[in-house]
Amino acid sequence: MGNNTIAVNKIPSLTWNWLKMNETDVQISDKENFRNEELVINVPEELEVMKESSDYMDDIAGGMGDEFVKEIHERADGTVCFSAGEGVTCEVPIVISGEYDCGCNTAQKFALKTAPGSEITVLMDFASEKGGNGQVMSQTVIDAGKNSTVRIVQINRLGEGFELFNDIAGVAGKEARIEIVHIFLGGSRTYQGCRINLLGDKSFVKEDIGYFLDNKQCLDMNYVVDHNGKKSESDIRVSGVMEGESEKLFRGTIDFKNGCAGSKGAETEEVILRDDEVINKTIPVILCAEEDVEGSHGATIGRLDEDLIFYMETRGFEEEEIYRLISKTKLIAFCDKIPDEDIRNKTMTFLS
Amino acid sequence: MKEKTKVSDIDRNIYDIKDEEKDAYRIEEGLTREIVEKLSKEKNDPDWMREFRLKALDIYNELQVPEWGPSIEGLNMDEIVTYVRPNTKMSAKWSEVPDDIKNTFDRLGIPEAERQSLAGVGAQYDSELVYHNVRKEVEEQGVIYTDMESALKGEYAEMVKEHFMKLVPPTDHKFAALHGAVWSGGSFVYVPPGVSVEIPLQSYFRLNAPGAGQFEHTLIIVDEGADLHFIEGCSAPKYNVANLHAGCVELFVGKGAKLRYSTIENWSKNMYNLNTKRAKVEENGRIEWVSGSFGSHVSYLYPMSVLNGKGARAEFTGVTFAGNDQNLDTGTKVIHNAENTSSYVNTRSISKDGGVSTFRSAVVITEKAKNSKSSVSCESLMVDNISRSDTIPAMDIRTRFADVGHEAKIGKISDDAVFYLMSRGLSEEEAKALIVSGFADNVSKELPVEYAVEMNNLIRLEMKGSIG
Amino acid sequence: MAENLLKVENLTVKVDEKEILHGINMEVNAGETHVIMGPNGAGKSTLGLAIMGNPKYTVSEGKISLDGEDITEEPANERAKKGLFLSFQAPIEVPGITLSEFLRNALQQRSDKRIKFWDFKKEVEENMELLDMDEKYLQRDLNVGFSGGEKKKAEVLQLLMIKPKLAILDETDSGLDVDAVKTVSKGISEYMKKCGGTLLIITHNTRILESLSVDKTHIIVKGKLAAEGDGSMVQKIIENGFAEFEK
Repeated sequence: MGNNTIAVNKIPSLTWNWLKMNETDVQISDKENFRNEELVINVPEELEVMKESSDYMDDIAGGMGDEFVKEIHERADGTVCFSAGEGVTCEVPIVISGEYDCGCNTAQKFALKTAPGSEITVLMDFASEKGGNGQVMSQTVIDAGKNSTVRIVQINRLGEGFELFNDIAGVAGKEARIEIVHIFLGGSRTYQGCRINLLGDKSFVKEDIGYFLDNKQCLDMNYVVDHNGKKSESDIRVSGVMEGESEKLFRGTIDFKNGCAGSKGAETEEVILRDDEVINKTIPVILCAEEDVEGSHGATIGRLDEDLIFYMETRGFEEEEIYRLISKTKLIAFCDKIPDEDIRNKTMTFLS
Repeated sequence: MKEKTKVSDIDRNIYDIKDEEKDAYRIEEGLTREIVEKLSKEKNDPDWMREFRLKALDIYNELQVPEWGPSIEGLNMDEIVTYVRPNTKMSAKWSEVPDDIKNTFDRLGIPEAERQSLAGVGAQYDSELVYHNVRKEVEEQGVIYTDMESALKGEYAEMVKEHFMKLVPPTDHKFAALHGAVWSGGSFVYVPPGVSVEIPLQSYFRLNAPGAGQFEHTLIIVDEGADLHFIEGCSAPKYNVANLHAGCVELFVGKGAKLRYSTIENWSKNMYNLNTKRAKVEENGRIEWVSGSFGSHVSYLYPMSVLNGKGARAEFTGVTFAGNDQNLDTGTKVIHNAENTSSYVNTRSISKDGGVSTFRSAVVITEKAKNSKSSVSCESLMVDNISRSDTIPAMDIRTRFADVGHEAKIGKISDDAVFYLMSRGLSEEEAKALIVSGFADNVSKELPVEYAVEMNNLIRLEMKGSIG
Repeated sequence: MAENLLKVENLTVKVDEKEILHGINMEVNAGETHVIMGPNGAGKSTLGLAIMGNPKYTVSEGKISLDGEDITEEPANERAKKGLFLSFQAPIEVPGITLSEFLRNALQQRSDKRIKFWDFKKEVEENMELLDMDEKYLQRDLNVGFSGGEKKKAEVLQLLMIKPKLAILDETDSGLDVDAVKTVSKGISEYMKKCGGTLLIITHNTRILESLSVDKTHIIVKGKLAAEGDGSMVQKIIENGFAEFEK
């Protein structure tokens, strides 16, 4: 059994090497060790499912980088492509449940195509038995057509030995909306890349990222939004809780390209640190080559507001309890975004 | 909104006067072991310093140029002459300074600046200190303010040896190694315990010869409970050959001591400014950086504060203005390495006429730094559509008892504000210049008044002709 | 020997090295209603916050005792568990935690017994009806986006649910319209009646006191106790102001 070492999650604008934030080396198990089981997929009737995506979709860049794309291409059995015709809107989400077996290495590729005016929601639940191990590689390519909406909810509640490599690559056309919800709870190591190109005028992306890390869990993220269209908008919100000896690196880049006049981009991050051994790294980048834009970033790391703590203390809460309660409710708020009751309940159970 | 000085008062020409080259001594171009040894001999270095230079040269040859910042491809190291010495010896009296050098300083207003309450002038002309004068009262307080060469041999030789490039070792990066090998000139300041220096000490650096690099070293030690404000101002004339500045500033702030280090940099637009500045702060000490970056073709400048004692505090206030053909990569680094330390960073950057400005920072809170606080705020202004402004802040937090806040904002000059000022009779150009100087007031507020005036003049000069 | 429920002795309080209260003495017995009045900036809120143990307010001298026990050094949550309550002048917004969750957790903090959901639901609904509060507020994040009046009602709701031995009400009536003051004051009388509570009311007017019988009035001026008197003193102050105490 062998491994390939590749670099993933390279930040678009490099900084000092000693910070060790520019990119991350990961080890992917050899091709022979991958065995792709049939996934359970519930597809609403209105949608068309194809075995291959269009070639041009391979050219949409993701957040994990080229080396990852090459490796997953060698390991996955083609691409499952969901496509919504013009004006088709699905009330019911596409639910992709991966209940991965212990020792199982899996690679899967998806493509989502929405024709003008259509709307789809995809829920991807990465789950396994407790304590299992293995590698899960996943890639989702999105082509959101004019005035369409794509919602993706991805949940990591894998067992303690699993590594998840998850990439999203997307392009939003004119007035298209892409909404992404990420909930990271399980697995030993999670590598998440996500790059959305707001190509069309008035296109929009919203990313809600929530995580709870403890023990030696590691989460390595690279979210990039390229603003190309005029009056395009992005909103990235990250909220997390860290315990034990967990480690997190959040890279978030908003790139205002020349010509994206009238665009707005915002990223905010709130992290609650609950142990002294955690390693919390953050690099929120704004790149700007356009005059008429509004970009902002805000981060609060570490402690809760002291007035809030005192108020809760006067009602009898201990500091420890206040942190526990607020951390918990933060994550429950994320679970409310899961569009499937069964998976929502399972995720809540995973949390407690 | 009062106008401090008219734009026409300032004429870029005064910054661009170049004296005839009368350098008595120029070492052949390119950097070899022989050159470094020759340089060391010329300077009468003590043995340890000669060894130090040679070791640094080896490190320089091993290290790579950084791959993450602005391109320095235009910089040909073989063309940089490392050591240029003017035709003059150290002088304590203005009357003994040669006339052509004196003229240049006159035009830069150094004697006036001195008269205007500045404690002393250690003006560096090319690579040697030309003029050095410490006011009597400062001397009487026991404060040492001298050039580095004298310090290396004088009464404080041991102290210099103990501190020299300990904070910025030659291994830090390629240009720190280069500095270690060929450094020359600069200032040494020692403030004894409990002494509070009332008036700021000032040093004026200036590059003069074509193709000449400048590698001055500044070493300041502020002992327990002492207090000092040091001002560094830079201006250099224009030349066609690429120029390099790789200076090094090392600041040691003792227990309960306070040091404010202010800089207005206005290097000529062909300069590669690869300067390294660092401060180490002990228990309850305080470092305050005030930094304005206006000149140079390319800058890499990130003053770093190492908060090593409990309760130590760092403040960084900066403004960067990148105009045509400028790529200014500036910011700060803070390492919180003890309990109850705090840092406050407030920066503004302006990009115009195709200029690129990058705010780059790193805040590290180690597991030793319980109950530490850090607050970073950076704002960027895009004046037009052909420029660039990037913000790359990094944070690495390793203790739960930390309180870290970060804010970044980017935007353009408000049309409403321009309209409002125009409705009161200002031209569009004047209105924008006024708004931009207002935007940079985080720094101008912190500067002594004559420097604030100069900075506002520079902004107006840079803003001039921004329309059409 | 009957102990005072609350005893404040020579209380001297500093904020950021500045002394705000200079040696305050006060005794409150169980079941009594006390009123604290004084001009703006006299230190009334500081007194409430210091008794409750806000860490920003340093007690440099003096002592605070509850039920004969010295609590000067206790953290705020311990004081709360021992039966102290402070209704905030400006209640803090707590995003992410609903009013319902907050109340249940707060009650759970004080009791080892598990609180039965239906008992809790019944009691909270009764109290909300009394306070004329829409039950929808239970599912909203505590104080987030509440109007000034709803925030104050939420404070009184907590008072009724938590049932402390002694409640300090810091301008619970300020910024409320006439009807809201009536409702809030109804809630406060209910607390006195049902829980046999004790009140320390910081206020500027009498409306909130109408259905209560005031046992004692304390006048604080410039961080010092300027005068003390019985319930009738409140009306005098309303009519004549503080001028005679400011000399």
